[in-house]
Amino acid sequence: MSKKIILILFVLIIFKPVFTLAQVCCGGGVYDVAVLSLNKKALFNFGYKFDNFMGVWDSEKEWRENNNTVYQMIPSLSSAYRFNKQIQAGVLIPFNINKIESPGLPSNGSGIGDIVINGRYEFFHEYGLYKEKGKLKRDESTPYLAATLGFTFPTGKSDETADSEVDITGKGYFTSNLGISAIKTIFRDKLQLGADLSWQHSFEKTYEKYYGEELSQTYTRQQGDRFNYALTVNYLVNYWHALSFSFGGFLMNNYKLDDSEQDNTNENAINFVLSYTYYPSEVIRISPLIKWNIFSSGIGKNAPGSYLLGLNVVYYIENLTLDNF
Amino acid sequence: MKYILYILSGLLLFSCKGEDIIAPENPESEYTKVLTVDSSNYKFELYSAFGSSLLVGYNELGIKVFENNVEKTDGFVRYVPSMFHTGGQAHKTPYKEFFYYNTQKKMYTGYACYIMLSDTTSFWISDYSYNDIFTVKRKFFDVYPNPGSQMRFWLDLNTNFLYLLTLIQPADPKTGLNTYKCILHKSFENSGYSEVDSARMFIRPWMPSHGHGSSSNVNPVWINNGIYEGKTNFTMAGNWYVYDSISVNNQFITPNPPIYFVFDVR
Repeated sequence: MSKKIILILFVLIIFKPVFTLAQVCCGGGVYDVAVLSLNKKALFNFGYKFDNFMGVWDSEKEWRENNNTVYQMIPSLSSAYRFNKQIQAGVLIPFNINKIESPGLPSNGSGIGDIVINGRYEFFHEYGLYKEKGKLKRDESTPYLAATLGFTFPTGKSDETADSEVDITGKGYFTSNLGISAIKTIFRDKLQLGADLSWQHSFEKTYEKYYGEELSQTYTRQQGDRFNYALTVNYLVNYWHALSFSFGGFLMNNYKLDDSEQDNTNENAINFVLSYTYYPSEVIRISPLIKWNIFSSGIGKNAPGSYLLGLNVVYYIENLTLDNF
Repeated sequence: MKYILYILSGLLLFSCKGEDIIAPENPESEYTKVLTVDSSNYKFELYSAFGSSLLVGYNELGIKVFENNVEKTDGFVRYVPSMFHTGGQAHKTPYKEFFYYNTQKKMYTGYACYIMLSDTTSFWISDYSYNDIFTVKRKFFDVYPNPGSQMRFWLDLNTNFLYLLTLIQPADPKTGLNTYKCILHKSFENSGYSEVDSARMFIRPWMPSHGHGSSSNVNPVWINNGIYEGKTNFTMAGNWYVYDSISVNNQFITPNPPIYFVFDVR
C-alpha cells in the first residue's frame, strides 16, 4: 500500500517543477494534472497556488528584482480517471487571479485559464506480480515507467484580446507535451527516486489584434520548443506522512516571429520544490508545497523568478478491480 | 514687429505651461552653471538643467546676460551652436531659436540637442546674442557623452527632409508607466533644423527577448516647440524597444519598420 501512496505523491509532485511561466506573470498552461496509482480509479483535486514574482532574468542572465508587487493566485479543479492498468487521463481547469501593482495601471484581473488535458500510458509498474515455474513472484527490479501526453487549450484570455496585463489568463495558443516518467524505489516503503522528462511544443499563433486593438498588419508568433526536467526524492515518514524534494527546470529555444527565429531569446531556469503530504484516510490526501528559484544572476535567462506556495486537497475513488494488480 | 510677436508667443507658451505645473520654491537652483563667455562689457552665463556639463542629446539650457554686471531680464537671447571638423566641414545642430526670459527660473531658457561629441578633430563653438544688440561670437565649448541620450536620424525620401527624433524622457526607465517625451526636428540639406509641430506619433513598446509588448500606452501628443509627450508601459525589467511611427499631414515620414529607442528598464 505504501508504495502506491509514494507513487501518488511522486507523480503529483514531479509536475510541479515544470511550471514556470514563460511570459510576464500571467500566462496559463499548467501541466500538474493529477495522476492515479494502480489502486485508485479516479480522483478529484482542489488546488490552490500563490505565485509571487520577485523579478526576472534578462537576456544576459542578470537577475533584476521587481520594484512592484506582482503575483498570481490560481485555484484549480482537476480530475483523473484510470481506464485500465496502463491508461489513465486527467483534466485541469485553472482560474487565474492576477495582481500587478503599478501606479496608473489596472491592478486586478481574473478569469478561466488554459485548460489542460493529460494522459499517460504506463509500461511498467514497480513490484508487479509474475509467474515463474508455476510460482507467483514479485518483480523487485523493474522501475515504474510511463509515457505522458498532454495538450493545453487556449481557453484563457491572451494578450491579443486582454485589456491589460492583469487580464491575461492564458497563452493564446495550443501546446502539446510529450514525456516520460520513471520511478525507482531505493528502500522499499521508505525512499524513492524519480525522473521526469518532457518536450513541450507550442503551436504558432496569428495576431490580428494586440490588447484589443486592430493591427494594421497581422503577424505570427511561435514559442520555442521547451525541454522540462525534474529529479525527485520521496521519503515516506510513516503511513500518514511523507516528504518530497525535487530539483527541476527547463530549457527553451528561441521564439519565432513571422517564421523568423529571434536571436538570444532562449529561456531557462531552475527551481526547487519541497512538499509535505498528509494522509488522513485512504481516500484523502492533503499536500502543501513550496517552490522557489534562486534569485541571483547566472541561474536563469529570459525567465521570471518567483516563489510559489501551493496546496492540494485530493479525494480518491478506490479501484477495486483485481485485474489491475 | 516680428520680435514683439516672438516675445508674445513665448510669454503665452510659458504662461500656459505655468498653469498646470507647480513651480518649485527655487527653480533657478535646478540649473547648474556650465560656462561663462564675455567680451568687453558683456557677459553670458550658460546653465544646464542636467548638470555641470553639456551632453550629447537634449539639453535644457538657461542663459544669464549681464551688461556692465547688470543683469538683463527683457527681450531674448540667441544661442547658436555649430560643430566644426578639422577637415573644414561644419554643421548645425537643433537648438531653440529664441531664449526668452523666464521669471521663475530667472534666466533666458531654451534647449539645444547636440548631435555629436567633442573630440580632437571636432569642435563645438557657439555665438551668444542679446536682443541682436550685442553678440559674443565663436566661443568654444565641449560636449560629453550621455548614456541616457538617444537620437534617431532618417531621411524621408518623399520630401527629402532629414528628420531627427531626440529622446527627452525617460532617461532612467522603471517598470510600469513612464512618461515618454521627445522632440522632433527636420532639416533640408543640412541647412539648419526646425521644430516639427504638426506630427502625429504612434508608439509601440516591445520586449524583444520575450516577444511581447504592453497595454495602456498613450501615444505622444504635441505639447510645444516640437516636443511630444505620451506614456509608455514597461511591464517588466529588461531591454525594451519603443517603436515610434510618425506621420505629418497624414503621410508617414518614418520607415517601415519604424525607428525605435532602446531602454534598459530596471
